[in-house]
Amino acid sequence: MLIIRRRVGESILIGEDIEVQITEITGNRIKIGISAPSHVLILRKEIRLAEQENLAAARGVSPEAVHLLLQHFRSP
Amino acid sequence: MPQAETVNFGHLEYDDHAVIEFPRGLPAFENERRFVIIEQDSTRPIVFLQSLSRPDLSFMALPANSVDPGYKLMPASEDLEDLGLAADREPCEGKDVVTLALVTVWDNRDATANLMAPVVVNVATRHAFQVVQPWSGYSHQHRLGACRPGTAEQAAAL
Repeated sequence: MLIIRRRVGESILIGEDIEVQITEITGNRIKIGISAPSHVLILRKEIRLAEQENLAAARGVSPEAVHLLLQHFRSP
Repeated sequence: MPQAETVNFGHLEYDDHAVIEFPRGLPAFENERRFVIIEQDSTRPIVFLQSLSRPDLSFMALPANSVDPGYKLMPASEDLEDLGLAADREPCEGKDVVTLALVTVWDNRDATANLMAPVVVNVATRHAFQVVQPWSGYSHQHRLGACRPGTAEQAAAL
């Protein structure tokens, strides 16, 4: 992972088409502006994690899975 | 009584009261808005969420405080607004909201519960959102011990 320090107003270029700019820093929150072509996906990481978990959760439902899950509450 | 065909529960008759509405669906399932909550004595505390638009879609969930007894919801003000809850006080579990963690059962490791992004249901309106809280410090894969394939046999042998 490339680690870069930036101040408010400064930018980073990614590839030929993407710019990331630090627009505001307040306390421990930072506001970032991103310009990229519309085909480039921009997503908060935790949303992707939630999507992946939901897909895995939906795939795993079965009577065996229910039985397994109940072990957590039944076992000593 | 309204009815639905489901893969995991067969032919289902349900109360309108048991239907919860996700105005934004769920991450990866944004078009699935209506679910019915299923609880059975034989499988408590598991709560099942069965989609009313997709017979093959259901989730297993656990009350967040049965996974972690001290579980604390940490919604952003936008989340409270979405849910239609007062901005100035903590929602009361069981009274204002029901907080559920969706569970994933895996092939080769312990089952996990998503405490980072709980499903929060407004008890009064029956509207629900999956509230993604990366700042909470909770894991999206909180390990539920003794839920690994193979442990059932071990437990039975004890």
